[in-house]
Order: sequence, then structure tokens, then C-alpha cells
Amino acid sequence: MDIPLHSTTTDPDKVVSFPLSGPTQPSRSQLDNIKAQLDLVLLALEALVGIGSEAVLQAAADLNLQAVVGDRVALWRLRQSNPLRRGTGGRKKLDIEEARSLVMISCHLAQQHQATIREAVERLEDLAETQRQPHHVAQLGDYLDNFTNTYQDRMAEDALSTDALSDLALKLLIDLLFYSNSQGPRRLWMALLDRANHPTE
Amino acid sequence: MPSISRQYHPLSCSLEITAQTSPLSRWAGRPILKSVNFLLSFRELPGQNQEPLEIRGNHQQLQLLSETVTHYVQERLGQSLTTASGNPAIEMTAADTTPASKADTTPSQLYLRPRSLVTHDLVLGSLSTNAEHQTVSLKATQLFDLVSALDDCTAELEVLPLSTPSQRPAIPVWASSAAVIVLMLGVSTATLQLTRQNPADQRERVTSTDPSDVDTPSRPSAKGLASAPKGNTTPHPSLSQPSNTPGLRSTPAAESKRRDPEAPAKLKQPSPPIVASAPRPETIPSSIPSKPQIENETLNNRPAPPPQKDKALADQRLGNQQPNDQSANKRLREPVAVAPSTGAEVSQKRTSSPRPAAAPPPRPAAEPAPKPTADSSITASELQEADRFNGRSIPQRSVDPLGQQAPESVAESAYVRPQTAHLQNIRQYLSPRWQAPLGLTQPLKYQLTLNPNGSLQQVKPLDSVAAQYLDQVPLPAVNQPFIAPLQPSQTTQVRLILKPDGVVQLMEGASAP
Repeated sequence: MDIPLHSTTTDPDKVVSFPLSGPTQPSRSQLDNIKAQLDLVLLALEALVGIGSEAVLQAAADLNLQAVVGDRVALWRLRQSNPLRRGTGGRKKLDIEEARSLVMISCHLAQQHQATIREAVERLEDLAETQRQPHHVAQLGDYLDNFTNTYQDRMAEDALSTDALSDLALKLLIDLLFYSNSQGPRRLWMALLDRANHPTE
Repeated sequence: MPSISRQYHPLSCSLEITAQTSPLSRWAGRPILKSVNFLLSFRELPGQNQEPLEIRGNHQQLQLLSETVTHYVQERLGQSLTTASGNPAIEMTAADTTPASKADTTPSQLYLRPRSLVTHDLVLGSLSTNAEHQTVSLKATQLFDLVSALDDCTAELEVLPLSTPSQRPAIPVWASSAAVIVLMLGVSTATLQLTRQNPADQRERVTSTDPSDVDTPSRPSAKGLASAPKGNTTPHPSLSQPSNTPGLRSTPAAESKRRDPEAPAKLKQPSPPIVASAPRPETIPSSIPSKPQIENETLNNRPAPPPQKDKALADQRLGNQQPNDQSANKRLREPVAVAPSTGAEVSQKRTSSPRPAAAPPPRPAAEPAPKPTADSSITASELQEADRFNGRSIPQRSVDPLGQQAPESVAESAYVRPQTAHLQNIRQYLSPRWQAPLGLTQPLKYQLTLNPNGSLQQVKPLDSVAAQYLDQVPLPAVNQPFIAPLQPSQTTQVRLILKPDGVVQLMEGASAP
């Protein structure tokens, strides 16, 4: 993109593209689904820092959430509640206690890996200043590749284009940074409710 | 007068709070603050020529800044994923700025507006000290540092009470005079009424004699006592205090008059807009009865589907109705052979090229007719749970009669910040000890690994310069007493940055590989 990053003028006639919107995209109600959002936050963490189910289960143990996320099967069931998932995605009911547990686990993991998340965001900022694409930096390129591959592997087909997935991954990366401080759980929870509360298109 | 100073040093900015402690602290047993001021300085702002930008203000301005930044961040986080422009270089137009950040903005108003995914403009408004720095361009990491410092500061100021006179604006002279006049009028009226009370009682006792009173000789005196308040309230129709006893008459009158001068001043205070945009759980019950219980795949076929929050709540209702069945059948119904979704199984193969074809929502099905749900009490408990998690107080809400409330301790623990306590302890340990050696020009970066008992397990320099100056870093030896024991019984990694100017910066987590 050759649009200057720091121009202070705002052209009201400028057309701004929203890569995630359009007739070929999944509806807003799907992406805004709380179950889908929670799964995507964890997916972004997986793609960036390479955490696996062991790390998630350990975070659940640290937070005394074994009753909700006690083993891999329980974790798989929770993440499978994402309606965007292939197969049985979305059939699992996710109650508030389970959603809250996933919020706390996600923010705990984000806090643990705050340095990596921050480093990635700083590199993204540097790239934006020089108007280069994220794939020019290995860390961001790997993150985007991991996110895209995992998303396409797990989610229903014909969901999002690669460009749209990259945009989604970058948005989630920056969100992860804000979830990694002391108020992260509260912010993520309210963001989930905000998105779910948006009027549907 | 003794003063208190608190400093918050995220990586890209620093926030310093100075306040004087009130003499009331001696009796309160803890510091009570007054005359709170803040100094916020940004480092390495783009276009600032390495000169730190400093913003100063009082407590009200600090609150305004905190509310504005917190609200803006939450607003950005809550934006739909479908409308987020992920490309960091894409500038946003005025149409993309959120309504709260651009509506009704006046030149003196403090607000934030997005410029791109990683850039935001902080318009200082009344906080601006000169015309050149009306707007501060913040990167995403700088905004994160700012909101983190404000979070920590707000949390600490909430613990330390503020002296009331410092919060209350000065009462104008005319208001004081009016209050004194009203007080004198009230006292004189009360005195007058008390002096007239006995004749009035006697008169009433005489005029109110009826056949029933004649029978009981003791009642006239009781009647006279009981009628005294009635007679007293008539000269003061404006006093509607229910417990309007003659001895206390002047107090509510004086108080009500004293409150009046404060009313406009309270209106001047900025109303926190943070919670205003957040979803109000109180609105959920109105939409829940129209929510079908079967909720899964069919949202796209619905002409006007309800919010997804209701969907999750409906999920929980179903889950709560059969908790035993779920737990008992969980393993039976789930195919254990299917591997869980883990990062280890991230497939490295790219399955296909971008799929431009129209994507129907997964498995659309016919929408069942909405069925009213009968378990509104469960919904109330869910709302209480949601509000507890949000840290909101619910003073008056029906308690779930079924007793299906989820345990609270886990949710509340989300807001206790054990993770940051040891960072403050380390900072308190290092700040007075760290003095940059001569010739040091770049920050020293270390990775500290802490034992559960608070001692150091390992100090790892992150670059060659840090290794060179390792012996000059004022850290204790490994396994020697360092800070208080950590909250979770696990080792914790902290990233330490010692700057040549004496600043100590700490960050949770391991460094990037």
C-alpha cells in the first residue's frame, strides 16, 4: 500500500477498503460469535508463539480452572464450539463459565508471552512506517503463514481469502498486546460482548 | 506537608503522580491524598526529534485522560473483526473514526482517533501546553504503554482515598452566604416553632376533643405529643424528610441548601464514558424471551438475529439445565480418538489457494420458531456472573432461586494482579541501587528467572553489552533473598532493561527468541 502512514489530512472522498467485508465473506454474526472469537484469539497465540495444548492446560492449572479445562478432550470440545470449525463446529454449547475460563487462559498466555507479542507489534509498526508488507520480517511472515495455514486447516472451507486472513491475523496480533496487561481479561471479555452486541448486518 | 510520589515506567512513556498527604492520614491509618498532580512524558514520539513530550495536569485531568484512553482502547478492541482493516498502512478516514471519538468534539476536548491499525492520534485538547503539540501521534505499542500506566495508576489511586476538599471545587462566596442565611432562618424558625409549640398543643387539644377522647383522660396529652410534628411540618412544606423530628429540623434544611451549590459543580465533572458504550447486561432479559433455545448454525438465515451474547447465554441455560448429564456423558459422546486442536499439530501444508467462491455459512438449517424461555431466573444468575466478571456491581438484582450460580472466586481472581506485584518489588529493589556506569550508552537487557520464593534463579544477558556489565548490575546472587515470594507457585521470567539515564524498566514474560 502506498498510502502514507502519518499523513494528517483526511480525505473524506477516499475509499477505504475493508478486506473482511463483502459478499464472499462469512457473515458478521459468525465472526462475531463469542465462541468463534475465543477460538481465534487462541489460534493467534498458537500461530505467534507456538503454544500447544500443553501450555493451555498448564495455564488452566495455574488459574485453578481444571474443573472446566482439565484435559485435552475438554479443551478440544471447548474450541470445537467455534461454529466456523469444520465438521461438528458450533454444536457444543459454551456456557458463561467456560467462556470466562477461555478468556482468562488466553490472557494468561498473552501475559506470559507479552515480550514476543510486543516485539511482533513493534516490527509491524516499523514496517508500516516504511510501507513494507509484513512478510518482509520473518517473525511476522511466519506468524501470518501459521495463522493462515491453521485457519484453513481447521475452519470450514471457503471462509476467507488469504489476504483477509492476513488482515484478521494482524488485527488479532494487536489485540493480543492489549490483552496481555493486568486489565487484559476484563478488556477481552468486554470486547467479546461488544462484538456480540453489534447489530447484525 | 509530606508528599507522595508514584512512578509508572512502561517502555515508551512514564507517568508520575505527585500528591500531598492530608493531615487526616494520621487518624485514618493510611495515606489520604490531596492535591494530586500528574506528569506524563512520552519518549521517542514520531516527529518529536527525540525530545520527550510532557503533559501535566491535576487529578481531574488525570481521570479524564484515563477514562478517555481506556474507553478508546475498549472501543477499538470491541470493533467487529469483520470491519477491521488489517493492513497497518491503510489510513482511516473521518468516517472510520468511532462515533464517540469524533462526535461533539470541541477544540478543548481530549479525545483519540484512529489513523491506521498501528497509529492513533491523541488530541490533547485542554491538556495541551502549546499549539505545536495539540495532537500526539501514538503507535499501538505506545498506546498500550499509556493505557497500562493509566490502569496501574488508577488501580493504585483507588486504593488510596482522596481527601474530600481536594475533590470538591471551591464553593462560591454567594453560596456560602446563602447557606448561612438559610441556616439562620431554619434555626430561628425552629426556635419560633418550639416556643409556640405549647400554646398550639393546648389549642389543638382543646379543639380536637371529640367523644372518643372524652372517654380516656390520658389521651389528650398523648395526642398533643403526637400532633407536634404535624404542626411543625406545615411551615416547611419543602422539607419532605420522612423522619422529620422537631429536634432535627434544621439539619436537613441546611444540608439541602448546602448541596445546591455543589450541584452545578458536579455537573462539570466529566462523566465516565467507559461503561456507557459497554454492553449493558441489563438489556439482555428483554431480548432473551425471543431467543430460540436451539441456536447453533442458523443465524444467517434469520432476518434479524439477536445478538450473539444472547446466544451464549442461551447456551449456558441449556448447559445449566443438565450439568450432570454433560459431565457424565462428556467422554462418552466425544470421540477421544480425534486429536485436540493443538499448536503442535499445526499443519504446514497449505491446503488450497484463496477461495474466492461465495461462502455459504456452514450448514445452514431451517430456523426453528422462537420459543419463550421459562428460566428467566437462570438468566439473572448469568447476568450476575457476567457483571461480576466485568467488575460491575449489581446492587439490586434477583438472586437465582435455583442456586445455579457459578463459583465467583475464579472470576474475581482475574482482577487481582499477582503478576505485577513482583515487578513492582523488583523495581523498588533496583531503582535506588541502579547507577549507570560511566561510558554506558545503551540499555542493558537481561532475562531474570525468579524462583517461587522470590529469589533469583538465573540472570541471562540478552546481548553482549549486557554480559559485559553483568557484574555491575545491582542484583543479588542466585538463590539469595531478593523480593517477596511470588503468588503462583511457579518460576516467572521477567525482562529487565537498565537504561543509562537510570531508568529501570521491567516487563513480564520471556524475551523473544
